[in-house]
Amino acid sequence: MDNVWEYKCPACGGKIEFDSSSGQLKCPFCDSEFEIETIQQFNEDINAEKADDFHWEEYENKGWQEEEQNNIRNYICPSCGGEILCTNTTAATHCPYCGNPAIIPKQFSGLYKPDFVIPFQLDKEAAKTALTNHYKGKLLLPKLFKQENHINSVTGMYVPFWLYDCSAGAHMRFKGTKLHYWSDRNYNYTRTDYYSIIREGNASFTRVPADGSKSMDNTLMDSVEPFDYNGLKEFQAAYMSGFLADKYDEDAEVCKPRINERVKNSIEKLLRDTASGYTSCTAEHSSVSLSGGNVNYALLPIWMLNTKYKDKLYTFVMNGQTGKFIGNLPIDWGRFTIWLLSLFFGISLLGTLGLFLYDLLI
Amino acid sequence: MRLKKIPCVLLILLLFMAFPSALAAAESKISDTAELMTSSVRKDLNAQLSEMENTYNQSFFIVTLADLGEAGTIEQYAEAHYTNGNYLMNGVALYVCMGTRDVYIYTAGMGSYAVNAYGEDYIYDSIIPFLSGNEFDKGFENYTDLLDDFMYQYKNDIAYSESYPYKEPLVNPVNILIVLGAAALISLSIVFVMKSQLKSVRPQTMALNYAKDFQLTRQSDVFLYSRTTRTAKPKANSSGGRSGGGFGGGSSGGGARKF
Repeated sequence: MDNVWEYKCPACGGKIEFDSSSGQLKCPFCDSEFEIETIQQFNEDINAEKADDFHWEEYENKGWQEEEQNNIRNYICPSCGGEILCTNTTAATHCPYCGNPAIIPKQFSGLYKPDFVIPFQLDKEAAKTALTNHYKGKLLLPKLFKQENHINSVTGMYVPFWLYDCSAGAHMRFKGTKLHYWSDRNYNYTRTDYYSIIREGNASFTRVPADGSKSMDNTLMDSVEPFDYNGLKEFQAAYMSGFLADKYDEDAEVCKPRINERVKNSIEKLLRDTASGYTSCTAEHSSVSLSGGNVNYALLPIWMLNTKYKDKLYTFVMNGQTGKFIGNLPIDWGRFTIWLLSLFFGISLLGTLGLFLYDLLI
Repeated sequence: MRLKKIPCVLLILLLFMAFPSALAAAESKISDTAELMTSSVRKDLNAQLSEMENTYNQSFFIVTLADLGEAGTIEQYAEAHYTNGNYLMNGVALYVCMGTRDVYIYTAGMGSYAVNAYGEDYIYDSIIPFLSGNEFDKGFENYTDLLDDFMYQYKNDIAYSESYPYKEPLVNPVNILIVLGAAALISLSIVFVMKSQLKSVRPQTMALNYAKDFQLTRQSDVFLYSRTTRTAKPKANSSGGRSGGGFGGGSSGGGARKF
């Protein structure tokens, strides 16, 4: 049986054929001509492309010792379902998520013991000061919001995070173009040169975090990054004293897709940045493989502040180690309109005056 | 005797009624035989040209024709018309013939100093696009406004020329609209930046803070093919010869143009 070699045209995807008059491969659909070696290389690259492959090791936990377990209490909130942990010496008086004071003790069992913890570096006063600073310079913030400013609760919590380590390798193929312009007496010319660009590379990723709690909004926790892992310590229950801890309810498997996406996007960007000098560069294929993936469970410090304004709950979060403060603020639409109209009329007036002065003086 | 007086009185009354019309006809600055202008524009331009005549003490008028009649060229027509008409020694006139699609600026005496070769080129370039597009009202309005500007400049300072070019006033409806558009864009950009300051919660789509030891293991850039396109350059369209301007008595300026 004869082997039938079929080559695709890089310009239009049609089947190209050998043209004996030019000695090159020619596409009968778009009339493009190519060197034989160019097409062979192009098609070999396409045939070698693979799909994404994400491989992670299974997480193994050491587990609590009995003495440690005796010092930890578990509570559940009947209002929002949030679960919190604290030591025997800490008073858990309310739910940090919804403010409900009627939290119920729950049997402490079946929980992973954290591998690491970053202890709190900043106290409650620092969190309150950070909130005041967060309001500064926000010209569209309602005045009443700042004035009322009654913080319902300020709670220091350890939030469960899964920290992922892995090595990532990627292969990407781009189509790049370079444009050249010139003209003669009668015409303007544009020549577009097309290139097939291949990039392969690898990188390692250390402790990419994903929060393991359904009660904590993922976007809020993303915004508080990064943590300084130089402050990461082996877990001891004593670090929890005086603070609450959120109990994880999303295990490492559930959080892996988010991490896969972040790692894939990152290595693709690193490769894309190496394809420079082109007018345009469009990705046509990408395959990422992860290996040596392992997971650790850590508690990371977060200050949570809640306030209500016009019956809406606003949650602010501060990184308990670095002090990074985030939280969306309400907008005063009246101020927005006033600013918009004032700027519009002011700039229009200045512009028109400028035109008059130019005509008058020059 | 009294009976004979009545017909005389009636005759005098009739003359008085006809006289304003005759006067009006003699004073009209627009002869729109080809009927290119609307009546309101004709009236406005007539008033404007009359005022200019009083200000600059020169003859200004516009003539539109369906055809040239016995005249061979529009230049010949204009020469004969101006010379034989009861016009001042100094003046500027615009002739437009629809039959031959010719437009011609005739200048006489001091008019050829105010609207010199540079001025004629400028005015032609300004009005021909409108005449070509059959926007005659706009074309004649442009002509009259430019003529007024050139006359004013000549009267109060030196005439516009290559070394002292005409400057379009910046304050015009188009520029005002551009200023308003720019003001809207700038003010919207500023307030939206202020609005974005209220939002600090953003998802993370990357993990570049956690990446290290990046190595590029393969790099290949292969030229595939080229595509070349071309677009024709627009060609300038002008016709008509040029002849030198004159001074004193009747004179003409440069050549006519097609539209």
